[in-house]
Amino acid sequence: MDPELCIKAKQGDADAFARLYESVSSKLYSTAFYMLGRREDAEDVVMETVTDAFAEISSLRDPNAFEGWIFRILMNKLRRKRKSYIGESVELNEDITSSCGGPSDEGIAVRNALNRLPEKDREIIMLDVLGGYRSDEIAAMLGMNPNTVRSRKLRAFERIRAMLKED
Amino acid sequence: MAQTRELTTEEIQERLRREMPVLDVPETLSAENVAAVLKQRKNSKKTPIYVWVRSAVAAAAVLAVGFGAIRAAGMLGGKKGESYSDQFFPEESGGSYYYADDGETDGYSSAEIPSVANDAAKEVHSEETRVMVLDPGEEMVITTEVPFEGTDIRSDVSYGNGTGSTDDICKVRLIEGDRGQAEIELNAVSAGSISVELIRNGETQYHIDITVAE
Repeated sequence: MDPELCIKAKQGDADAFARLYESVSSKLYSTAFYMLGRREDAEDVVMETVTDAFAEISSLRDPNAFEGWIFRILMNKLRRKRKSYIGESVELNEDITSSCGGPSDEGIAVRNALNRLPEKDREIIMLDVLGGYRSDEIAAMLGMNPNTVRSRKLRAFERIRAMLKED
Repeated sequence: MAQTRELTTEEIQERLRREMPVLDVPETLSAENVAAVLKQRKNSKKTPIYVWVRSAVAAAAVLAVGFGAIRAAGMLGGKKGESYSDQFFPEESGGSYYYADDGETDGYSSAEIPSVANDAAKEVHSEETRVMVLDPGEEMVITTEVPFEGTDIRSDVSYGNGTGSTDDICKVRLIEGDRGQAEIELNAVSAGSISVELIRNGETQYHIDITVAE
């Protein structure tokens, strides 16, 4: 992360902030999209994340923490958005299947398994798979203990493995 | 589809990556568009307070902010042990979005929120985010409609400091209210942000982001 860009962004430079955002935009959008399963909602949540982050960036002390920091804002928003889906089916909707070139048996099975995980475990797996983040980085993003993330990640993969075997 | 053998963790990761590739952002989220949106917000007409009311229900919440502010200023004064009820702000109401936009302190900031309400009751509600801004040393009790019985509280350091204990930013305690509902006692310590959740039967019942101003 370019510290100069961060300093400019903290001074209210929207272009500098946009360049910082650009470095993580695909990961932010993909995480939002796969967590929500709805293209428009994912776009809305990412845009809200960006505007909130720009408004709050003066509170970011370590420029190197930008990626984890903005993901943290995103994850909080995603959690609340998903909560508003209670009672609605968001699994495997058309947006996701069309983005992935159509459903395959393997794809359906693995995504179903992921969707059946507890919310926190799903977040951890998403960040691991999509972002390639380490457990300590995920821990910082989710406000959890790194050891808890490690153990939950192991347990989540065991659950997915068991579900794939059952299906 | 049943597996003939157990997949390794790496194979599961690989399969998930294949099924969930990193996507290109749509045009609306391109860096150029984002920069334009942020500039537009910054350069929007200087209005002391811009209030967007999304629904008629949210309009009621707006009035309640004013009422709550007067009530908090006149009767409570932000002192320890006294309560500021949020019963007027049901999360499912559709919400309202306040932000002060003066071209310099875009977004909700501790400097601008007092002009929305006053120093004693500084709350910002959006449809997704409930934010409370406190000054260091400020104490407050939030009354919720969540039953106290069986409720746990969880607080995490949110963005701002990034690491450390929530107690360094704002001490949070769950107490039982007069009507058996959960109350959250806040004691702001120093600048930073934390998120607080009330959890019941494994589900988050109440969520609030608290920022302690510089």
